[in-house]
Amino acid sequence: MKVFIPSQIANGYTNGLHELNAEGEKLDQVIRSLDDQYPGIKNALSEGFACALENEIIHDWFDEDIKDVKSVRFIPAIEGG
Amino acid sequence: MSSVRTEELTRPNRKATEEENKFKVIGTRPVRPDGIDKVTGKANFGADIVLNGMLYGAIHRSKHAHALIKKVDVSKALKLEGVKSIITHSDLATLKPTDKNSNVNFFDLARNVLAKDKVLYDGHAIAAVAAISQTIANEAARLIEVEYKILKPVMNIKTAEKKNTPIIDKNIFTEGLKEPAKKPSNIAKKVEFLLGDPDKTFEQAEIVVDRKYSTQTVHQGYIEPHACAASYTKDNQATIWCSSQGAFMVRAYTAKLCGLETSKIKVIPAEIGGGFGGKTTIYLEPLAVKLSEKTGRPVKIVMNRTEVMRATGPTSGGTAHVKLGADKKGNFIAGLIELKYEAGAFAGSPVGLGCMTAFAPYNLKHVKCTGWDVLVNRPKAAAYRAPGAPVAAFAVESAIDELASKLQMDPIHLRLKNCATEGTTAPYGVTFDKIGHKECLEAALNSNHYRKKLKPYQGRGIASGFWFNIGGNSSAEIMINEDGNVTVATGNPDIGGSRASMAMMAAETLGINMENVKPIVADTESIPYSDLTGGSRVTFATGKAVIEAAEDMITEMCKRAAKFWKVDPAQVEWKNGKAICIERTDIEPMSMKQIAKIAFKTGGAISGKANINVKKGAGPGFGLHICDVEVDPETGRVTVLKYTAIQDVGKAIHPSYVEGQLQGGAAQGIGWALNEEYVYSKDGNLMNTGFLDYRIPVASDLPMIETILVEVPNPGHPFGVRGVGETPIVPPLGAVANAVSNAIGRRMTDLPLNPIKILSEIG
Repeated sequence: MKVFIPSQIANGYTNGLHELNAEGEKLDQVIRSLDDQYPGIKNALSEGFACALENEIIHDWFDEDIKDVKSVRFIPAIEGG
Repeated sequence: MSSVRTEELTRPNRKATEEENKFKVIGTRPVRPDGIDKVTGKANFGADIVLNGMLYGAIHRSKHAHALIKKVDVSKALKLEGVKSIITHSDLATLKPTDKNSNVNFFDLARNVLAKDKVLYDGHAIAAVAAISQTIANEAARLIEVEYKILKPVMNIKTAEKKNTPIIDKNIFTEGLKEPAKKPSNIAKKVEFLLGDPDKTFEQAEIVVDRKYSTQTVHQGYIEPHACAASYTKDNQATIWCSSQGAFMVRAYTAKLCGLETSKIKVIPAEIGGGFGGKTTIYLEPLAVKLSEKTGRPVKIVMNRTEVMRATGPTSGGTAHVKLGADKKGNFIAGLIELKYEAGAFAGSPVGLGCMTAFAPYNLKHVKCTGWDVLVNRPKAAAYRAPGAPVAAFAVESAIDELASKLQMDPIHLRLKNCATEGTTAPYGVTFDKIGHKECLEAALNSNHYRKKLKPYQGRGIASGFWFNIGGNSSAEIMINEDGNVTVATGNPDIGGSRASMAMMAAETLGINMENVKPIVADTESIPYSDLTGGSRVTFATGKAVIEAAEDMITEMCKRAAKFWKVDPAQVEWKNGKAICIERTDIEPMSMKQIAKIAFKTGGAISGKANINVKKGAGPGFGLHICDVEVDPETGRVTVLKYTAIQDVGKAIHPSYVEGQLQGGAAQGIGWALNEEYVYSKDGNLMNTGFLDYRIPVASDLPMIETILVEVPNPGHPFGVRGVGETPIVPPLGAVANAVSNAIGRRMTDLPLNPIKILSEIG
């Protein structure tokens, strides 16, 4: 599973690496896998980032089913006016 | 199936489409439930609240844009007869820089509502007074003496970026750099979005447009100033009456700043006289609560227009550098954009959203969007319809217009060749489901407007726009009253006709007339949590909650009918507003009035509810605007001759309000493009603090804004709804700038396009 993260997270936690690999059929499994590799990234992504899964942007992401998803991409949360 | 409305609606003897026949209430244009109160002046807005024993508040504000506060002397003010209390930042809860969540930095918010040890913009609040009359409160605020150490203000991005420039906030270290920042900076954050390999791919481009653009700080321009009243009681409970875009947001933010548990505060939403994103935060509420706590009496604070302009809103001014490459046939090859947005005095401009939206209407495989969040000594930027998108779209849509000119292609055909469709992956990583950008472009091409001939010094501009649209947390409760009529309660303030759309969706689901449904906006103790009204989410997400609540009540009504008829509930169905026993023709269907009559016999009052977080299905919105202008070569004045706003709205629940959203967005965007800007003195004082000097367009400035509603139903909503409120402000800046550029034969890149700039271009 490919996981894409924003530059401000990449520079803080993955030594600039934007494209990561993690395993899991549920989103929270993938996040735990990432956190094992890059400690602290789970909390960082939990603050102000939404998760783009194929054609949806998920705020308040948790344990979404991602077994049929090709990639997971974290993006800034969408605010509105 | 998609359909195009509004222009069609004007045709005589027009037959309703099959799509329209599906619905009885959806798509009609009933009178709005809150209309009579609003047009007769009976609706209660924030400033209308009057409470027994109420005191009046006033605020002492900074006259400097950047200064250390050495001393605040309130002694003279306190001696004034009738003054009851004065508060400063130290009266708020003690917060740390780490006190933040994904939505808000409370440390910054507290320092914004009352300056801590430094004033950061002209008009920054320093102290708040409560007194027995407004006149005394104002005089007391004037008598407060502040000793400053004046610092050099940082008024624009260029100054903020300079080396050795004054640092506005020493807590800010640039985030998002490859190497962690070691020194404080006025650059709060760098963001970057990358798709493919744009740098390399640019080598294949045969035609490149490379240009810089700029815009100024603008205000949302809501007519109703911020206002609230608060009453704090001896049992440490507070009640707030205020106009805002979210009563639960007001409750949570005020609780944090006042050091109270959230549930100790009740927020009663007043009517709202415009918000446009500017009322998604708080300014006055914690001050009124604290003053009420100190005095033991209710306190009301109402801003005047000058305060609104100096210390609330605005949205970011910014710069954009766009590079767009294409082949000779007009196929886009790659796009780059670098955006720099003013955040105001606290981090948090919408530059990330600008990056994400910039190229979203187009099918580009190679894109890089870089954004910089820049602190300046101006008010903290607040949300404004489609935050971040209009400035980015202005730049990209101008570049596309220039590219079309170089290619000698029609600008709509160029966009059609490259437009995002179902299956396109946007630069921010989402692959679009069913969207209607192409349909909007085709509707524009086929419109009467686009075929109209122009004269010398007249120009036509078009521009596309995109907004994500979102879902989120929404709650709805629906109840059948003793007379069989229905009340629908939601937790979302009605800023754009949502009472009507909620009532219509409830009526459609229940199979009854809209006149039999009364929609209300509930307070924070009468309905479960709801996210604020913003992001074009309410008709979509709260609408879903209303539909689910209605379905919940239908289930209960069927059970009650079954109980009354002594049949198995599985034999009862709901059809056309009635319970029907499907296996017994001898039983007459039961209407809601009849069910209301048997409610007490069969178990008590009947209601339905839904508390949901709509995580999926908010279909993105796309629009295209066409603008015709005439430029007076002697004065440089721009007259908007004709304007058409086209948008994929999914399904228009109440077409008049959807058209109103499009017209309002267009009007605000035209003002942004032609007139509006914050004008500061060299010392950083705002010079145009009223609507005489800060020129928002009025009816006499504009032609009738024509609308074409394109309906590509959103598969993520039972009725096909897409959010519509944000998208219409995205295209106007580009559409107007392209129109003016085409009228005078010069590329206009610096908004607003006032007569001085135009005259300097045409000589």
